[in-house]
Amino acid sequence: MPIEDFVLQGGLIKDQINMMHEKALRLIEEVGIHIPHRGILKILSNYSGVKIYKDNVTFTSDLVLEALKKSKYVLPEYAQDENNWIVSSGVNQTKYYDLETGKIREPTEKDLIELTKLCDVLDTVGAAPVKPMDVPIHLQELLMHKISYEYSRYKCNDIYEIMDKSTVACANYVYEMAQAAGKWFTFGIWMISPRTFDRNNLEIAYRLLDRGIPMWISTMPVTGVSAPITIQAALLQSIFEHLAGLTMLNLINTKSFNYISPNDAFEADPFDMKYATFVYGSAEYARITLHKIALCRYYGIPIMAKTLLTAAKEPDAQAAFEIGSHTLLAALAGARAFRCGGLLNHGELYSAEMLVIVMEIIEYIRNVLKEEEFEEKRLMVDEIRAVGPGQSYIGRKSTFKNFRKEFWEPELFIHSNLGQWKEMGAKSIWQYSRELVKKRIEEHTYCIDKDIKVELDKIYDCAKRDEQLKKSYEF
Amino acid sequence: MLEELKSAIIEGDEDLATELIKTLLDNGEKPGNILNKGLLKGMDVVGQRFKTYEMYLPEVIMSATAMKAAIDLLKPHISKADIVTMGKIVMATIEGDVHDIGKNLVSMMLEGAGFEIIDLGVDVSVKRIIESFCDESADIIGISALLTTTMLALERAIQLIRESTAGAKVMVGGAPLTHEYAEKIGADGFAPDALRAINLSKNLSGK
Repeated sequence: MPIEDFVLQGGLIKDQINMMHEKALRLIEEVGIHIPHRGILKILSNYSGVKIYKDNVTFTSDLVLEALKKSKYVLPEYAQDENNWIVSSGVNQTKYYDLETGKIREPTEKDLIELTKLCDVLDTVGAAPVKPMDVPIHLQELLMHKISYEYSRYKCNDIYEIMDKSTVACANYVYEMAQAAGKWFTFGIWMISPRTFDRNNLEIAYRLLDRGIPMWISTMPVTGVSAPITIQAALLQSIFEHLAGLTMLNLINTKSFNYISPNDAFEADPFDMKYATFVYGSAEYARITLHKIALCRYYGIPIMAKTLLTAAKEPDAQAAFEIGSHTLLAALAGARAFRCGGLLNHGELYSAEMLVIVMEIIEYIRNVLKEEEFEEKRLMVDEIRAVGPGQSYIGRKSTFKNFRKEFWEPELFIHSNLGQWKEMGAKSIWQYSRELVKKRIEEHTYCIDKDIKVELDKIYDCAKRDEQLKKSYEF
Repeated sequence: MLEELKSAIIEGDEDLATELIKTLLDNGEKPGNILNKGLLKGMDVVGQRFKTYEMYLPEVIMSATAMKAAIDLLKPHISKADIVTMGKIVMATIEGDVHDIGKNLVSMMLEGAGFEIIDLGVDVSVKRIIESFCDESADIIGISALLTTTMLALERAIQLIRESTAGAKVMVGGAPLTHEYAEKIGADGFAPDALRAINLSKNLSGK
C-alpha cells in the first residue's frame, strides 16, 4: 500500500474558473480581438458567428467551444508516462555565460552545438538553447533547427518546441528540413497583448495554411502594462486571448489541428514597477503558476510549468530559492513538466551551469515526492529487536542492501562536511557545476542518421545561397 | 507658487499642475519661469528619484502625464526665446516589431527633460525613419527593438541611416540589447532604461 502522495491544496475552485470562463466568452463575443490581416479576415468573414468591424473580430461562444473541442494535444512518447519528469531548457537566448571565463557574451555556433549536446545528455526538450550570433541573421533560425535535429533526440521535435520562424522563406526551409529528418513541424502565433497580433506573424501563418500544419496560439499579458494590474484580471485576459486566438486558428487552419501551446498556456506575467522589467521567479509568479495549473486542468491542456526562471543574474542563492520553491510548489500541485531550465535574468541569459543545477533541483524534488510503499517489512521490526545499546546498524546486511535505494545521492549538492570539502578543493557550486557541464558534454553520443545529415546539409547549403531568404530578413 | 508647481509635477497631480499654471499666468508670471523653474525642475527631481529607484514606473508616468498636460496649457504662451530645447529626437520601434512600452516611456521622459519628440510609433520602416529625420531636421534617432529578430535587423537599419543622412546620432534600446551589441552594430549609444536615455540624449545632442 503506497503512502499517500503529498499534494498542495487550495487555489482556484471550479466555480471561480467557471466564472472566468464565462467572462472570457463574453469578452470574445462583445469586445473581440484585432486581426490586422486582410487574407485572414476574408476567410473569417465566411463564417456565421463571426463579426468583423475594420480589423476587430468577435466570435460567438459556440465557435469558441467548438475550437476547444477540436483542439488536440499530441504528447510525445516520453510524456505519456506520468512518472517521467520533463525539463525543457532554453529559448533562443542571445546572451550566454562563457564556460571558461565566466563572462557574459554572445553565443556562437560552436556554443549552440555544445549546449545542444548537453541538453540531449540531460534529456531536456523544447527549443534550441541559444542563438548563434556569429551566423548571418537569415540562417540563424535554420541552423538552430538543424543542430537540434542533428544532436538531440527531443529538441524542436514535439509539442514543447517553441522556435521562431520569422519569415515565410525560413518557415519553408525549416519545413523541408523537418520533412527530411522526420521531425515535428508546427507554427505558432503569438498574440501581442492587449488583443492584437504581429502582422508578419499572421502573414507567415496565412501562407502556411495550405500545408496542413498544426498551429498553436500563445499570449503573455503583463500585469499593469498589457493587462490590468490584478493577477486575476491578467489571467482572465490571458484566457480571453488564448480562446479567441484558438478560435481564429480553428476557423482558418482547417487542414490540420490547432492547440493552445502548453509552454505558455494562460501565461500572465508580473511586471516590476521599480525596475521596469518582467519578473520571473517572484512570489506572484509562483502564484500565477499555481492558477495556471488549475486552468490547464480545467481546459484539458497538458501542464508545462514555467518554474525554472529566476530574476537572479548568477547561479546563486536567489536562483536556487526561486527555482526550487517554485518548482516544488508546482510539483505538489501536480506538474511533472517544467521549462526554461538554464535561464537567468528573467529568461534573457543562458547558463550551462544553471542548467545542471536545475537538473539537480528537479532530482531533489523528485526524491522528496517519490512514491513510497508502506509495508510491514519496511518497518524492520526484527532489525530493531536485533540491534541493542552500544551496537550499530551500519554493518547490517539490510543496511548494505538498501542504503543506495533509500537515499538519493546528489551529484552537485554534495553532503561532505567542511573538512572534506576543503580537502576536495573547497570548490563553489558554480565550479562544480562547470565541471559537470564539461563532463556531460563529453558523454554525448546521439547523432542523426548519416543519410539524413547529408540531406539537411544540402538544404542548409541551398539556404546559404538563397538571396530571397536573405532578403526576407531585410527591409 | 512655482515650488508648488514643481511639487505637483513630482506628485503627478495633473489637476493641481494645470490649475497652478492658470493661476500663475493670471498673476503675470513669466511663462519661461513657469517652464524652467517649475515644470522642468519638477521633472529633474523625478528623473533623479527614478534613477535611485525611489520612484516607481507608474509614479513616473503620472508625473510625465502631468508634465505633458501642463506643457500643452503653457505652449501658446511660450515664446521661442523661452524654450530651451535640448534637441529633436525621432523615436520609433523598428519594422517588424510592435512592442512599444519602453519606447513610450522613454519618449515621455525625454519630453519631460526638454527634448522635442517625434514618435513614429511601431513597426516603422527605416525609410520612414530617415524621411522623418530629414523633414524634421532632427538631431537624434532613437530605435527600439524587443524581439531577437528585429534586434538583429538594427545593424542594417543603422547602415541605411548612415548612408542616407549626415550627422544623425543613433541610439538604440530594448531588452535583448547590450552596450556591446550596440557598439558592434554601429549605434552611437545604448540606453537600458528611460533615465539613461535622457543622459545619453544629452550627451549626443551636446547639451
